Amino acid sequence: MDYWDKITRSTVAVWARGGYGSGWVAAESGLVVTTHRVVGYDTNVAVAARGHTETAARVVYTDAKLDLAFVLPAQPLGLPPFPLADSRRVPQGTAVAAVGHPLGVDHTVSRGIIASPQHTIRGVDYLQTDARVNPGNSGGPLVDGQGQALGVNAWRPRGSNDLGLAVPVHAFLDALRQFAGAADLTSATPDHRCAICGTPLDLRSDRCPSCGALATYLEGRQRILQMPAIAHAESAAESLLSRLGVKPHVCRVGEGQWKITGQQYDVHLLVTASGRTLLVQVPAARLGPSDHEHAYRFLLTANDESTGTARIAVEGEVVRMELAEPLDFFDSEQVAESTKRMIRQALRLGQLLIRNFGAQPPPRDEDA
Amino acid sequence: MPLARDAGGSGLGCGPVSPSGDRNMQHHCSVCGYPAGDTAACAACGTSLSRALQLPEAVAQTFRAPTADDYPELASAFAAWRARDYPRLVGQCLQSLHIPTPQATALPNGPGWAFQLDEAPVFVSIHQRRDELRVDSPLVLLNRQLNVAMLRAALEINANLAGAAALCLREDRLLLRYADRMSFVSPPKLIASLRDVASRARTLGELLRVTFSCEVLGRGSAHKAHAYGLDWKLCGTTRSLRILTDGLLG
Repeated sequence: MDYWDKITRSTVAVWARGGYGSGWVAAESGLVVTTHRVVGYDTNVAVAARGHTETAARVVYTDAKLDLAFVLPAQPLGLPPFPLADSRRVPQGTAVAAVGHPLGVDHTVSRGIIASPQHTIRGVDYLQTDARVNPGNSGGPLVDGQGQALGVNAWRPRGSNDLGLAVPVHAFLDALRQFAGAADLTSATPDHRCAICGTPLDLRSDRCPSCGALATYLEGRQRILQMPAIAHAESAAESLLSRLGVKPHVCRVGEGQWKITGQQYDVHLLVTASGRTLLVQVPAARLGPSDHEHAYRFLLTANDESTGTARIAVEGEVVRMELAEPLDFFDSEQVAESTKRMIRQALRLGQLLIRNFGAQPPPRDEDA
Repeated sequence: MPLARDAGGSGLGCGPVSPSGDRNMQHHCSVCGYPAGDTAACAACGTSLSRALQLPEAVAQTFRAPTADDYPELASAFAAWRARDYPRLVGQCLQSLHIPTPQATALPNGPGWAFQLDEAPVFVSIHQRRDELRVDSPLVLLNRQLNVAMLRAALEINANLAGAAALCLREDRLLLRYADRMSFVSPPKLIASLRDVASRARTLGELLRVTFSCEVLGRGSAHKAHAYGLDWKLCGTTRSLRILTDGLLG
């Protein structure tokens, strides 16, 4: 296995209710290190390794001061943990790589050097690197030339392009050992630490019981702050997913995006940019190489037959059925019923198109 | 977070009071937040301090269709909807849209109404056997030379429409269509759908006309002059696809 495979294999994507980022396996128990910025104060999140479907995970520890979090997948990911480097003794100029999911692009690696082994900001010592750290990289590992983790990529000062900051491993090694060796964390209440003094927080209060600092529940989740409609839409989508018998955090694939993978079909849920409409889409077929006019006529005539708000649409070569539900009148029970019916319709439509119009089954993730 | 919690050996028991964050452990009414005194009831709101306020740890949010309480101005439309008097429901909603004299017609499957809204021709009908409401707005006639491109564009528009309506093909014309079960179409939803179909129909009709040099249906000076003379023939005739009638899309 080459270096690049080694450093991307145990890096995972992390989805939380209001955030998205990266993480990496740091212990034999499967404990994943990520950032507090990604998971916030959520209890349940989802993680996915390269080529694997999403797995539910539980947040067991967050440290707002270090911008650090540990999450434990419900099912073991079966990935080897990153060996940990001695981050106290990393020389300036050491070649490093930042691994993560910047801007939603999976398992991207950017190379650089340690520009400064100790860059102190607000009392926290960071490793400073010129490796690119973009939104989505947060929580990913900063690794050295031997594939050992030196730290967790945390943030980039506003306005800088080539200045990434990573929390060094030695800053959280004690906490990591404590949680990596804990017997059963599956039902433990998350241990959230104060951003100022590190004291455990009681989330029933908005202040640290020791130093009185305010807990900033929405820090780093500006999109939700800027657009209350998005938060409302996310809640509506989660309400629908619960009605469909699916755990929302398990099938989250991004901000305002969820995917249910069935045996024969995929269902995609998307919140539109305005946050006012929820789209539920089920791919039915891929158009064949010819005979498109007749297929188009058939599809548009079929749209005239539909009852309910399901409609047939084409994007690229994919024919899909979709519901566009305005959130002003959203009724999760009705939409769940419509969604179940639409899944049956999409399967049937796909069969008809394959049989009569030379279409093919819709692309699925394993085909990509 | 106004949770009623024991103050940790303070001697106040489990009444609806919560400790404040200060060192004096002042207690407060968990309903209104006013400092709790020695009386049995809160001095500000009167809540009994011996009755614990039960709040769930987390509120499971459910989304329900709007009710008459949310739209008092549509009380009579809600009453018609609840009574399954759908023709009256449509009449009430059209009145709310200030369409005083829609052209009402008895169609083979139920009543229908034709009117102009936002400069677009709109046809509303109730299919009684299928318990379905349909809103149609004819857009354009297909340009024979650009047939495939127009059909393709219509399907692509469907993939990008934010509203619940859809473009469909009826004979040689494209229509914007919204159909739903009557029981799902609350009065505010019907009003919003009518507005949505009309405004999108106007925009999409213009887009298709400019792009494909095709004839727009139901607009233009002749139709403006006869705003209430809309002909149901504009909508074309629905072709029932037998292969679909066994429930593919029904």
